[in-house]
Amino acid sequence: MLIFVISAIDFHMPPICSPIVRPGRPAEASPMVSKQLSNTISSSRMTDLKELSLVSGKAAWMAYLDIYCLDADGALFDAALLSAIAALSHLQIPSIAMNDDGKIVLVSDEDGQKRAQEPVNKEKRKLTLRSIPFSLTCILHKNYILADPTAEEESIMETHVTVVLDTSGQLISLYKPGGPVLAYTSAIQDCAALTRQRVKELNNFLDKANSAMEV
Amino acid sequence: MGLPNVSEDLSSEVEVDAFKRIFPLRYFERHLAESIRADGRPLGKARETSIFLGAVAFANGSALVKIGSTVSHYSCVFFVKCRCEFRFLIFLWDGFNDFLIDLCSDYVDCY
Repeated sequence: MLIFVISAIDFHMPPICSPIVRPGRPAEASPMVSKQLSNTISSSRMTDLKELSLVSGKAAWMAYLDIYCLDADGALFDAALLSAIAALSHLQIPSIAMNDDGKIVLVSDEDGQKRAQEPVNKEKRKLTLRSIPFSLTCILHKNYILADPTAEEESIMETHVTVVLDTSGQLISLYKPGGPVLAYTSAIQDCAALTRQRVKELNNFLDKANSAMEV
Repeated sequence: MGLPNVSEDLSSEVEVDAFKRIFPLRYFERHLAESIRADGRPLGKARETSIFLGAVAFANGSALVKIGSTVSHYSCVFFVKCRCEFRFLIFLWDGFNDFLIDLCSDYVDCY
């Protein structure tokens, strides 16, 4: 029996990010974005959770995602999802060995003694990301659709739609929390078209960032 | 020579800021009617995005993502011709009703 571990995702908003956020009390948007991120990442199935398994039935990796918002200027979920995906694409799983006692020990290259242990995970390796989700938040206002709103526009106009697509063009998530403007089919299709453009842009950005890191 | 222009530019900037603060929804709708945003973007365009990997040294995977910036560029073209005069008579509290009437009449005169 394999152990499947789902990532724990937390979205933090320290008071430095916005004049609205007060110290001590968590901001309203923080649990909303955390839950939305968890749902999106789990339903997109971009990582095979078997890769996080070490020893069948005994040990597995658990990934903690801590996302800190440094400057809240609207479209928080888009920035949070993009940073989570970029961090997961940069993730390197360290090499691991198992003791005779059955304990898991980190293998360091310097120590020659620990190399005698049986390595479970021989090398540092990266996660394989299959279909990467990207999102775009739009504002619906009368007959207009505004992509990627600022915090000022979000506070004035009330209807937001967040569309999440993956790189193969499949719809992962659609989120519309109320608001006076109704979500007609044509409006949703226009938002999805804008999101499809945005997915291509962001995928290029992510490929450039990863190729820059490999050099 | 320079002083009257400077005071005129400053007064028009104050007018735009007052209009934005008192009528925020109408301020944005004036931009929407011209198919631009308050920061100069077209309607369907996202902000400038940059991704920086490896921001935190002791984490196994980390990233810093920046969408947009804190510096906003407002276009004031559509409001220079508007000659609203907001007479701030806050200290004369007895004249507050007159202030409201002046505000509404100025608002009507602008359009």
